[in-house]
Amino acid sequence: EAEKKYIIEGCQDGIRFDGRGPSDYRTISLENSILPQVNGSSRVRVSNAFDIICSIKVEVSEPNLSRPNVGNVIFSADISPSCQITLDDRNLFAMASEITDNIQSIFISSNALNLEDLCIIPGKFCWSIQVDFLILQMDGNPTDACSIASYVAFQCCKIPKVTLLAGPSGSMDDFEIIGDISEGIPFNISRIPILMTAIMVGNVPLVDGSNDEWDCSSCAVTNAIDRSGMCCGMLLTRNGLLSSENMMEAIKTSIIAAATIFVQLDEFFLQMEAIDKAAALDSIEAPPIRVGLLMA
Amino acid sequence: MQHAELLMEMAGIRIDGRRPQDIRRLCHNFISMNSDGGLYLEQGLNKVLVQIHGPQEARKKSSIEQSNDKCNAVCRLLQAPFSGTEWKKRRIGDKRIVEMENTLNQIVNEIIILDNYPRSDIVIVITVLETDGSLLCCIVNAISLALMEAGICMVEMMVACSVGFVRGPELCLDLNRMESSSGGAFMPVVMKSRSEEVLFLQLDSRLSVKDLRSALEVATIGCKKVKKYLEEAIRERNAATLTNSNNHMMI
Repeated sequence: EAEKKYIIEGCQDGIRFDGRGPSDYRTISLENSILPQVNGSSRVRVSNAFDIICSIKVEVSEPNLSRPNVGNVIFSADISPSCQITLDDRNLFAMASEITDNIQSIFISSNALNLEDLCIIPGKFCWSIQVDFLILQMDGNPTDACSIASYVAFQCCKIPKVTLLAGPSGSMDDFEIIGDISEGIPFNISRIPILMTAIMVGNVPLVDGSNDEWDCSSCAVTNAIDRSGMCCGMLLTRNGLLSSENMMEAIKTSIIAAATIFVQLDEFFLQMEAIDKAAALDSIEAPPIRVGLLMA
Repeated sequence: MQHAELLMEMAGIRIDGRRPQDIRRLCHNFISMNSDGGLYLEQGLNKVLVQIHGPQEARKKSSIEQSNDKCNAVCRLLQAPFSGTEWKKRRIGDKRIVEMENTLNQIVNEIIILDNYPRSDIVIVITVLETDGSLLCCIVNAISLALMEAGICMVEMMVACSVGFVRGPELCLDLNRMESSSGGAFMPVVMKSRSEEVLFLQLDSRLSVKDLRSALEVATIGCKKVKKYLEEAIRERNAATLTNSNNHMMI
């Protein structure tokens, strides 16, 4: 009880218990292309708080009858029992489902990916993107870190190129996948948002709350913010009353925090590009996958 | 698949270029994530992460079931949906996962000195990131090393290796996915490293008794190779810990 008071009063003075400001995210460390067997993968480590592996697998499937021209994106999450050893499998599954539902609803509604690009042959074949999160460690709500991980994974993911072939009926209703994955088409990530959850502690919105701060919070709102700083989706994720002023404050704080994260992400992508170019110059075949010892 | 047979006949090597009695490349990394002993192990393309939590206070349920003078060692397995060739999300209570957890529970309860930790729980969390055949053996090797990292007393170190026939009369060690599903006999074997007593053995295909005997001998050879690797890993880890070198101290 006294600790809660300490945290709440500290926030009202603008300082959190670990010295951060209200819109400061914890230190993030990124890796991409860590899993060779899937199309895109990434790992996000937030200093001692989160460790999330994201994998993107692209498969051929049949499009929905009602929408024959679009592909689909499906999210799923798994929480390792290590995160909370006292919880049993059902509870972990319920937590994971909640996270999945939140991410899926905001992502789809914010129109981030052009699903029409995922169509191969209208009505018959389309690409189905399966995004998986594996949460190895968490302190707070992993939704934000998961969205950062998916952003990095989308950036390094490639959809295989296809050539359309004439099928048995004579019309172009068959296709062939070109085997060389390095000729794949990268995703257009310009409209993919990052989710930023702001929790209200006292009357102050905080970004990237730890477990203690979540315990003191009255309500939480998750905003989807894209790289141009526009808020393209919102979800109230915790029961509680949020006044409209507080909501505006929360959105502003989220936007500031997201801007700093996008800067970090861009730096990371430039670094990775430089490494790939250097590798391409050194060897004849540039290895597209960084096969290293995971967890190093 | 004709390639495989040709390779075997003419050059005596398997599809991935190994000799029949070569085990796959092993590499590991100790990690100190939120657990008492954490290890990442790669055996060939198998990628397994093991974290040990314990010994910790017993949860209510286990103290009712278990007598008060032993510890309760539990394995919890999480196989990532992207770990196999096809994407498959495992539901709670998935038969294969439950079966593997039960097997691991049996093995681990045999090998840990339970009397040393009365009224406690030891929880072993296993996360599988990628599979490529002989998963059980890889997990057992990883658990063995992780238990040593966590400082939990064991009777002996346990090692595991799989053995089977792959398109030819010679017994092969450490089969990968293609080889174990090619139709020949496939037998994962878990044994204690020093006394070479078999802790666990599974055979779902047909094997004559004479072949069983030779298969066990070959499996022992494989287990010895794994034992060598694990012992080397422990020695390095101890040396690093004692000299406080920064290389192996992961945060």
